[in-house]
Amino acid sequence: MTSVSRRVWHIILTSVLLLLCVFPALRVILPENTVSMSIFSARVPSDICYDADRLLKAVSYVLDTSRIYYAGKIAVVSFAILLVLKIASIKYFRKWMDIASVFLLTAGSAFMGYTVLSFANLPVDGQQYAVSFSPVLYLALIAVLTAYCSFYIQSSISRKTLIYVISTLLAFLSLVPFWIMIVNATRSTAQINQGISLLPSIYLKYNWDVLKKFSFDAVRGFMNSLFIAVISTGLCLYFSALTAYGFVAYRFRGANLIFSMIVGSMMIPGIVGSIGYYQAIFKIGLMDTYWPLIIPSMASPATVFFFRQYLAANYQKEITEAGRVDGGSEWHIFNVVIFPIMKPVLAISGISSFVGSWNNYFTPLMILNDPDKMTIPLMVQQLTGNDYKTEYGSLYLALTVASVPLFLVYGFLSRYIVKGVSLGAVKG
Amino acid sequence: MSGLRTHVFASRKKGRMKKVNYDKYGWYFILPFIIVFLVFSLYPILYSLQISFTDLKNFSKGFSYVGFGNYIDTLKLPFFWTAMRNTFLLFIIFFIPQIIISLLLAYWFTTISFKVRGQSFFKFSIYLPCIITPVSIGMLFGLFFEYPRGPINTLLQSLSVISEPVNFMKNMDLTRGIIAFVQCWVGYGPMMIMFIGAILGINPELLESARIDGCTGRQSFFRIVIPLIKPILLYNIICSTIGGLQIFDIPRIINGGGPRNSTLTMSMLVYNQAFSGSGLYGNAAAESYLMTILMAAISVVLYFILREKDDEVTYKRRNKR
Repeated sequence: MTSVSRRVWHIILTSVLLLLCVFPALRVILPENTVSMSIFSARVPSDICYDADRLLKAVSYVLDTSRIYYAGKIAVVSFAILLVLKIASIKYFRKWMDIASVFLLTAGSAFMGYTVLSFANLPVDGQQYAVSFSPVLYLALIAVLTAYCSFYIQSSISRKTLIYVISTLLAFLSLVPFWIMIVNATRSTAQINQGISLLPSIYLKYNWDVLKKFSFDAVRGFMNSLFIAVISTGLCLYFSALTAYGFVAYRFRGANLIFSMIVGSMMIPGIVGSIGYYQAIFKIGLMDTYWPLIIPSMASPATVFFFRQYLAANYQKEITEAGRVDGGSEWHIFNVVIFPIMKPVLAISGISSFVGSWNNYFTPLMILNDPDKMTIPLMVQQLTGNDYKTEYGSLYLALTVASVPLFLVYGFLSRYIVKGVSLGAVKG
Repeated sequence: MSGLRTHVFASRKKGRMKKVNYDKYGWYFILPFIIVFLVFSLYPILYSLQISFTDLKNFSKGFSYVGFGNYIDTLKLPFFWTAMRNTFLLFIIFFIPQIIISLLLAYWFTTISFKVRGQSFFKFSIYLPCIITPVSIGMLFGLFFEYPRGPINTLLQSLSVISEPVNFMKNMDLTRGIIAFVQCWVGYGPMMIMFIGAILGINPELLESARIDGCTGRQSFFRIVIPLIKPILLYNIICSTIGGLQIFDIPRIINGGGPRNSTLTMSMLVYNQAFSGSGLYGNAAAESYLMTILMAAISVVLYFILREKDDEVTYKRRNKR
């Protein structure tokens, strides 16, 4: 089974690779419109078509272009070293050779892809075309080449290297945008226009002053968002716990039916009730107040489901019975005994509920109109249509300020979040 | 309410047993939830249904029933089909990579023989984007892909990948690509954590014995891990499909549906119909219901496709043929 599938994979990968190499080259040779490039390229040069002289010129141009030349050279050299390593690794240092070869292959394929694609997109007649290089195609080429390479090196250590390389790349992909955001918040617009930097600059104060002119009142936004988020989280936790306890500790008629309805309602898309919700709120006259944002959090099916699953595993009847013997009322027992027991899940759900409420965009967008009542997401959204749109430094600063509480919450409590999501999955 | 009454009645009947029946407290405890749920979740949904059969408009006092008029209008509306095509296109290009990446990462991080170090750092950073406000993320990426001299343009130019700045937001394919990338980037973290939880729930002895029996990594992934986490996988896929087809925040902030409506999603269409000037609540409600019907249909199809595959019964049936 393995050898056959290996061969099939080999054929598939090779053909994709060839296609990717040949496809852009077709653009130079074939007349316009025979090859559709709209998926790959931002704009197709309009007058590239087959012409022997042009092609010759193009080839000579490539040889002049030192950059492409060097890229090709590096690619060839790294592939050559790779070949030597592969031959050598049959006998000696198998592990380290394999690790080195993964890196060499990645580098080699990156440079090779660059060379091939540059060649395919050369400026014929020495003219510069706007966008002839297609990033998507380039990435596809690298991906396929890397897959092709890793396919041939199949010892576990090189797979481990691959795992580390990909995980590190993804981790940086997640962190770098936020780092750039924070750094750009401290730079002036002129600096930002010059390019990316990973080191902060000194214009934080200036950006802050500009931001104040935006009518971006961060403090007020914070207070509004915090007010809504804290109260709705509190309500959500308390009433979800109460409901879950009601389901677990007591047997009453219709419990299963109601619970399955709750679970089923988790599947209902939120958008379907939005128009009716807006109209109902409008009729009651609660527009532009926080009530419509806070009260619905009392009935959060997902949280109830999560709590019930937790209690079903951790609750013993004796706890309640002991409370009854001591003469506590049922409600008192819940408040004093059961609610504290649920601390771990309360923390987990509390975080996600808080973050969800803080990030909520659709409902406040419908309900809130008064600038003084706006939450952080609404304020951020208003920046997009601002007169100061060219003051990039302060825009980045606004985004940073809006994200700081979330960074803090996540920084301190990420352990719970990660645990909570997986807990929910196990129980679900 | 009627259930409550009957129950109280029943407990009175049993009063002879001289045992206090506490079970009515179950009802009391879930009552606040039920009330809020009925008033703030169920009622709006039903009210939406009612509105979808009327010609309710902005600033109009009364309305009249128009039957299925709104639904027919919506189905005739070219924007509706554009929005639907866009939504599906975006969903497919962000969801498939998202599932693949998250499953792969989850498998890597849970396989004991790989012993990936620094896992908590990887998990921490990969999960981070989903915590940050989607609106901020949309705006951040809008700034990154800014036309003449945004960071991405300057970066690509300095690497001489492109010779002139690209106006990403004027190109339909690129804008879709960016939005799909951001959605995928936000989504694979939580999905990965979810799958890690699911895989850790598998009995480790199973995987261990498979390894001893000479199962390769790929085999144990496709033959053991995937079938065992299938229920959770299925649930997650359906939930993310329902969530993913409602994408609103990021496309709206990044480009507001442009260029030429190429990123107008269904949720944005509902919002625009109802709240941006025209105030066609009837049409918007009809659209949201059509959307829901569609999602329900897709969920059912997904459920049957994914459930049947490894069913023993179908397996046997196939063997008989």
